[in-house]
Amino acid sequence: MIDAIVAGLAALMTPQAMVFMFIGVIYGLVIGILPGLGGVVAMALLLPFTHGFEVAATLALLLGAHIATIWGSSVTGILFNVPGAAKSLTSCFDGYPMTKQGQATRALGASATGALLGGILGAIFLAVSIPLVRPIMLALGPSEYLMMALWGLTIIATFSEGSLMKGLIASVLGILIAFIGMDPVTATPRYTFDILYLMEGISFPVAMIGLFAVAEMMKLYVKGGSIVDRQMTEERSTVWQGVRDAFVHRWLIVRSSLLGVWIGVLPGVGATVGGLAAYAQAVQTSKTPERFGKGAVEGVIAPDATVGANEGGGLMPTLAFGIPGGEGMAILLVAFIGLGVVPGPDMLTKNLDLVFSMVWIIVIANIFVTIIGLGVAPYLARLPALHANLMVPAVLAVCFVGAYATRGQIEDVAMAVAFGILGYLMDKYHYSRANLVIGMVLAIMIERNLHLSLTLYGSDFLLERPVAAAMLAFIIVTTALPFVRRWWKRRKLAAAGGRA
Amino acid sequence: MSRRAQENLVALVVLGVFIVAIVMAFDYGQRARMVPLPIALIGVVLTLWQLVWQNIRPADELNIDLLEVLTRREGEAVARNVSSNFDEQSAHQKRQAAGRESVACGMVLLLLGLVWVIGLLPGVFLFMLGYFLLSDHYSLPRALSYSLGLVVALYLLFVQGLGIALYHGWLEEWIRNL
Amino acid sequence: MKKLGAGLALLAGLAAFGTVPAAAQNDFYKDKVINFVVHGSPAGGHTRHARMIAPYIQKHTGAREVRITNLQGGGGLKGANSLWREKTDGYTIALSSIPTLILAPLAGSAGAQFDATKFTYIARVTSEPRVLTVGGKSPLRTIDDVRKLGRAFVFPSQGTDEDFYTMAVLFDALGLPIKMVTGYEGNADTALAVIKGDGDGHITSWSQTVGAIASGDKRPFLIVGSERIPEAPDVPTVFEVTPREKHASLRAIINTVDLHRCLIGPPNMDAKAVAALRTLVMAAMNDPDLKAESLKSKMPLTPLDGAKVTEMVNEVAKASGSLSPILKAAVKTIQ
Repeated sequence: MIDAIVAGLAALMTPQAMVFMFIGVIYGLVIGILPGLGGVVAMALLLPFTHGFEVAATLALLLGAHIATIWGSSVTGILFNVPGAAKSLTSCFDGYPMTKQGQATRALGASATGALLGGILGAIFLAVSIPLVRPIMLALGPSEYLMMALWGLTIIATFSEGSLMKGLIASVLGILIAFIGMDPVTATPRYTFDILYLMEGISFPVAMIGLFAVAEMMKLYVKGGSIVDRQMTEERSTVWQGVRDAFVHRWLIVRSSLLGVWIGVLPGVGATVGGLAAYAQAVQTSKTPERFGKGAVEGVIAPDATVGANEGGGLMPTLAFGIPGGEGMAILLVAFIGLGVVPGPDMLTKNLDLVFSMVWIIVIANIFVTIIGLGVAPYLARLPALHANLMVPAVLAVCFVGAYATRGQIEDVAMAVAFGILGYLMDKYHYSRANLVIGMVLAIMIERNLHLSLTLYGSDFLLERPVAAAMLAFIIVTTALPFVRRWWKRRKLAAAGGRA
Repeated sequence: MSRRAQENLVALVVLGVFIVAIVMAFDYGQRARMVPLPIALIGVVLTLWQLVWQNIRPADELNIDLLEVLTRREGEAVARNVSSNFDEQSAHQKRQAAGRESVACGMVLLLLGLVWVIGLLPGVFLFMLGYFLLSDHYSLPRALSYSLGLVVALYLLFVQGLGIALYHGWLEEWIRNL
Repeated sequence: MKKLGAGLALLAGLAAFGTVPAAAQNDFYKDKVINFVVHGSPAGGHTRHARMIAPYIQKHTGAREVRITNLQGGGGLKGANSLWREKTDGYTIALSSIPTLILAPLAGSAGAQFDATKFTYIARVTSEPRVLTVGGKSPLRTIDDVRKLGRAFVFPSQGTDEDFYTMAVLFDALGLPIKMVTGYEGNADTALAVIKGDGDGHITSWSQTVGAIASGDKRPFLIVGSERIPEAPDVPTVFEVTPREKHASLRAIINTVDLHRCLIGPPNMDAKAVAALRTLVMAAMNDPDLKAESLKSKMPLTPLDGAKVTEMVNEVAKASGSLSPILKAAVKTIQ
């Protein structure tokens, strides 16, 4: 195995591979920053240019681009409340409040370091847990995925923005929006009003562009000035604060990375849910959960670590079973076959050096991203201070083009506008936008896996799936924990007050 | 409109959406409505609860709700301050804010209309130029160069770099079909 | 990148002048622009195929440009609806998934505003044999084991795709019960369900499943096609295990799946354009350079002449009377 680790690294140490990785990283950063476009698009667009180059270089280009989109997507979420892709949704939750408090540079630094450490830890966990991957993948199924989605749902309580009741109403609305379109489980068009455009559902990136970006620009127009008024709130943080934050919360990063690897390993869960689950985990294990959603740096670090680690895990279904785990892997698979490598369990024996090449690419690309990120963060952090009269039209322009580019449908631009107005109203009347989006992401996963569990194991599926039952118990306990803690704290305070 | 009337209107609209969702769900098969139907029902219950609640509380506590009272959640102060300030604002300020809100809405709809008719990049260009000039923020040459610069950047990124064919607009289609 | 593209185009243009007599014989498209609409996402397999063959179509037709655009939505229905109303001058063609076009209306799916038999079929681009595989630990070895199962065959599926319909028709022909479990998230998810034993078997293309078969996680069970494949010579086809009188409906669905990705045009397309395109596109797809490229990038091309494709589509349409109730019944079971 040591041989393979060394050989994997050596294969990358060619000028071509390094240059390719660097190009991939820069390209991935740009794609990540553009709203609506994520890692899969980045890789798909690069694919035609990979013919005829060495294996390591090709993989470095594709994987490097994929890795770089993670931080790229978080950047706009932190600075403008505009997540660059679905998986960085959570960067809006605490990153944007940090920007408003003059902590943008720190948030960017924390995000980059979180993704770096997540990526590295993820790669290490992956290497260590290769023998465990197959049994665990075989042990978990739809019922367990259902519990994972329910766990993600528990963070709704965090985003009450002053009203828990309205927060719940917003998530119900989000769940129902997710049901618009052709239901693949029952082949029933639901809530489509016979409009063909609605048949394939509301595109998630488009809804996010509307809810967050367009709504935020409308808000900025109404308010005037800039997102961050530098006369009121000085940007006084540094990237090093962010780096330090990441190391201070090292156990959070370890937990989040582990979570990320396993979510990546399981086909049918996905990085977006992974980010939400990481956030839920950060809230639940925090001693001060009430700070979340208002600029808690842990809320930035944990999801980025998970999404970073997720990449390594995503390689596993392909390596262990020869089946592509997600869209991104499906594209890598095409590249593999083009390179004459047949993915499958053979990879773990005969082509182990290639596997470690990929692990190394994840690590090195993350280091590239972090170095670039830490370097440019202070400059990026100045952007939110730009005047509204420049910001509003420019951001709207980019968002409109981005909304169109996600699926190439002009109706998507109209949908982004509709969601923009919805987002503005929700913000004004304190119905949490984050909750609506969480409902949207998890609804389909919950519905699908509920149907699968019922069809495969019957209505008492929890009895048949002890792991799922244990997960449910865990969810109930961890959700109740913050409430119990608070109650305990208050009781102690009251007791102390009584004595004094 | 008072804050309470606005809040009630919003809640009623949401309630309407949930009721429509329930009615429509009855058209679907038993499995297809298994999840949406109960979820929409929960929505109705929550919204009714919220409606009743927000009408029996004093105006300055509009944003604290029953669940919070029950669980005594902390950290709701910010929201409360916002809403209590709202009714203290002068009528003039309120009118001004409402006016800006309508303009903001009109602005995104105008951009959408422009894009739909003359295509993405020309629409975006005209919108930016108009915005810069009407907001009196930049002089004509600067406004022109900024909008042109951004459109060229978008063109290079999306069309040249990513090979995405952008929408050309209804007008071009119409002329082509003449 | 752009420069490279321009260079290639120039080379292609030169080649068109010098070496390809076909282009000189038929200059219907000479110096014209062909709009090549892909009914799929810019990142998907359709687009990759389109991008690979477009330069060769340009070379052989002598067109000034072959302009690729994407029109996705409604699982391909949106593109088909749009092509249905497209101008018939021959300058707009599309790469589309034929099973969707044929099966969606037959299964009574909402959203199809066209008659699939009326489109102009120019050529098939590619088709890959599909295989029904079972789990490596599954007790099912032959079709007789399925008969003796004593319960319905469990088929995990993403939704009502062509594999779903194929299974419905196959098990109708076998006269055996099948339980469709829809809701899986893609091929990886259904493959894992089969390996675990949650499902009995699923259908994939050979290239998607070859890794899992090599490792013993899955076993090929039936070839969903009319001929055995050289990669697995011992595996029978669906026709070998079903009674002859049921072959008509089975043939119809297999033909549909076989058509896979085709170049098509709007109904009643200009006859001269059709004749020119059918010849020139076939010439383009038999271009040795394209063949080499397809081999190198593992994107197989299995061209089939437009006339033959039309024949197959008509055959399917004839059998649709018997097919439609089976498909509709299958959809009913999951609703």
